[in-house]
This record gives sequence, structure tokens and C-alpha cells, in this order.
Amino acid sequence: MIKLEHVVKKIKNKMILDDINFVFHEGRIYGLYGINGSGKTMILRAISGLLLPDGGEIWVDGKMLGKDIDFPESIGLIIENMEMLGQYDAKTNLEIIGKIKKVATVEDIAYILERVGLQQFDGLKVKKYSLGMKQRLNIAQAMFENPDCILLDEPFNALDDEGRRMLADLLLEEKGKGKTIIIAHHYREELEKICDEVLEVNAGAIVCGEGNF
Amino acid sequence: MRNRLFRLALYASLIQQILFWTMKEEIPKLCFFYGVPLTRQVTYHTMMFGYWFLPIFFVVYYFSGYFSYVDGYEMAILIRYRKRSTFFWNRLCSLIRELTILVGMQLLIGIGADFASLRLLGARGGFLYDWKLDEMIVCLMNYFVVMLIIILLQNLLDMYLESTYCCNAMVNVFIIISVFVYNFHSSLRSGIFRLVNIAMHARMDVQGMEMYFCMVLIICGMIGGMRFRWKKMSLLGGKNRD
Repeated sequence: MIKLEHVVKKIKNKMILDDINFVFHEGRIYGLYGINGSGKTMILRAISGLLLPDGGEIWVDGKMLGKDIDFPESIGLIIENMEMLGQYDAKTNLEIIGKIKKVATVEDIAYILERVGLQQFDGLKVKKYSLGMKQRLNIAQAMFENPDCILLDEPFNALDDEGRRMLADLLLEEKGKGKTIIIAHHYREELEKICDEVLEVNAGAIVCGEGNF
Repeated sequence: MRNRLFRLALYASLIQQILFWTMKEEIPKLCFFYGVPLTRQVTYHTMMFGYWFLPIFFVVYYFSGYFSYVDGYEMAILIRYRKRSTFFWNRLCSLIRELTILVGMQLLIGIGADFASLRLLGARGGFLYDWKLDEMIVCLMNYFVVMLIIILLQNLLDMYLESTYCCNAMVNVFIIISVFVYNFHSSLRSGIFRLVNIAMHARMDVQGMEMYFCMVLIICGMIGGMRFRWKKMSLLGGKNRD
């Protein structure tokens, strides 16, 4: 469970996060939608520990970010332009990242690459990938360690129809395993197809949602 | 991009050696390690300072934003560490490793240039003509520590200010002012101002335990300041931060 209590963040006198109170539960998919600059990505950054709030508290599985832990202990994240190392193939890239936590096995990597449709490109260097293939690799990167909490910023970008279906299936499968999934996206319609709850973000605040308190 | 900047820093070292060759006066062996010799001619040593600082400009640009610039891939790496500080220490180690490689390459270029001047130009001096290993190791350490201080200072500023301002602060303010300060100091010819420009040979004379103790204190202070800021810094992608 992820709990945000009175989270406030101001950067250069601009309110980025405005008193956010929300609880994200396990086994549910949450969608954040809003216009550009509304604060969707900032909410994901705050939950992932990259953004340190000026006020309020963020609790992940009973541990407070910034006090008990610096980053959530089990998290998968897509944020920004995640360019992997171009000189290696997808498998090697995941192996390099996997060496930090050492929780993913060779089988886990092979499984996720198959799920995102990159298994057939084994040996092809990432610098030769198309945008869509890079996005599939980013998705694999976020999920290959089987994290409890998955935060995805614009995960549908650059994906073709088949890729979108693949991602939706993958997310529903992960939801079935009891994971907390939060997706930031521009289009409400696309979120409504897979999310249990779609939240509108405006001017750094979650303006509607059942989890508001 | 970073590879290109690294190569640029090496080319600058090569150009520096060629520029040292063009000086008619006798220059000390491995001038970039040993520093610019003390003279009473302001024009001469100002020009020498310019040559000495040439690769430093590029090295400073190479290490610009080393700690504060965090892209998406690095964020994916960062969140997998249990602590923010682990990433910081890893970065510091890789900074020292890359600086060691750069200084090593400069040394090779210097020795190569010295060899060429000995063989091709028939020089009667130079590092290979009468080299002393102990002296060279001291010089190398001295040079490395001075470079480390410059880069850490720049990165410390980098974490509080915009990267562009920091590079400008280091290149245009610190380096140029330090040359003027030295010129002012030498024109006074008094012992009141014990200011020693990092580029000049005199820094070799002020070495000793106190000097190294002072340098270690400065380095520890800067690393402490950087680590403090790193713990409190929001990472918003690229150069953006709060």
C-alpha cells in the first residue's frame, strides 16, 4: 500500500504538488491523467523517492520515504527517456541492471523479454532498436525483477496496436499477482480500459478519486 | 557526447604540448605536471598560464554535471540502490577513475612529446634527459590532487547552481582571476601575499605535510558538502532539480 499524506512540493515558487492525500491499494491499477504540466509525473517521482517533498509524508508498505527508506524496496519504474546502453543487447542491459539487486534470475529475464516481444531480437544492439522496441525494453526493465509496485510514466508512447494490447495484458496479469500499479497518461479513454480507478490530476493535486481522504 | 568531450580534453593536452614547444625559452620537463616556471616577465608567464590551463577548460567541461545530471537510465539504476548515498559514492569512485585515466593519458602525451623533442628537436633537457622517479611521483600526485580539487569544487557549485554558470565560474572567473592574482602578487614582490597559482611551478615548493593535510581537508569538506546536497536534492531528470 502506498499512502500520501499532505504531500507538498514547491519548485521555484511554483506549486508542483499541492497537498496530496491519497491511498493506493494493492492489486489495483490506478491511472493518472491530466494536461501537460499538471503534475502526473511529479506524483510518480515523489512515490519513487526521486522527488523529496517540502512537506507531508509518503508511506510505502508501512515505511516512510526519506526517513525509514530512501527508495521503495520493491519498485519498477519508467520515467523520462530511459535510453538503455546502446552498445549491448536487451538481455545484457537487463543483466547489468539486475546485478544491483540480484533478485532476478536468467529465467526471469528470458520470460519478460518474451512477454514484451523482444526475445526474437536477441543479440541485436539496443542502438539499432526502433522507438517502439526501446519502449518495450523499458517496460521489461520495470517489470523483470517482479516488483510489488510498478510506476509507469506514459508507457503506451511509441507502441503499436499489438504493443498496447501486450502491455494491457501484462499489466492485468501483474495486477492479478496483487501488485500496485500506477500509470500516468494523457488519454482518459485508454486508461479506463485497464484501470480500476482513473484519477484526474490538475495543478499538482488529485482532484477526484475514491482514495482521496 | 561524453566520449567526444573526453577526446577533446586529450586533443587539448596534445595542443598544449605543441604550444609549449613553440616557446623559445627553456621550459621545464613535463611542464603541465611541474607547472609554469617563475619569471619576472608578466607576458611570458601569462602566456604559459594560458597554455597550462588549456586542457583544464575541457576537463572542467567533461566533468560538468557529473553528480547533478541524472537521466532516465540513471534513475532506473538509482532507485535500485537501498540508499541514495550508495549511488553518490559509486559516482565519486568513477569520477576518480576517469580523472586517473585522463591524467595518465596526459602523462603519456607529455612523455611522448618529450621523447619527440629529444629525438627530433635535439633538446638538451626535458623529462627523458634527466628524469627522477621520486620527483615525478610527487609531481603526479600533486597535479592529480589539484585537478581533483578543481573538479570537486566545480561539481559542488554544480549542485547548487546551473551547470552553465558553474563552468563559467570555474573557467572565466576562477582561472582567469587566479592568473591576475598571481600577476598582482608577483608585481608586489613581497611576501605579504602568499598566494600561489595552481599552474605555477612554485606550488612544488609549498608542498609538505601541512600542504597535503590542507588539501585533504579541502577535498573532504567538498565531498561532505556534495553528499549533504545529494541527500536533499530532488532529481527531476536531466539538469533539472530543485
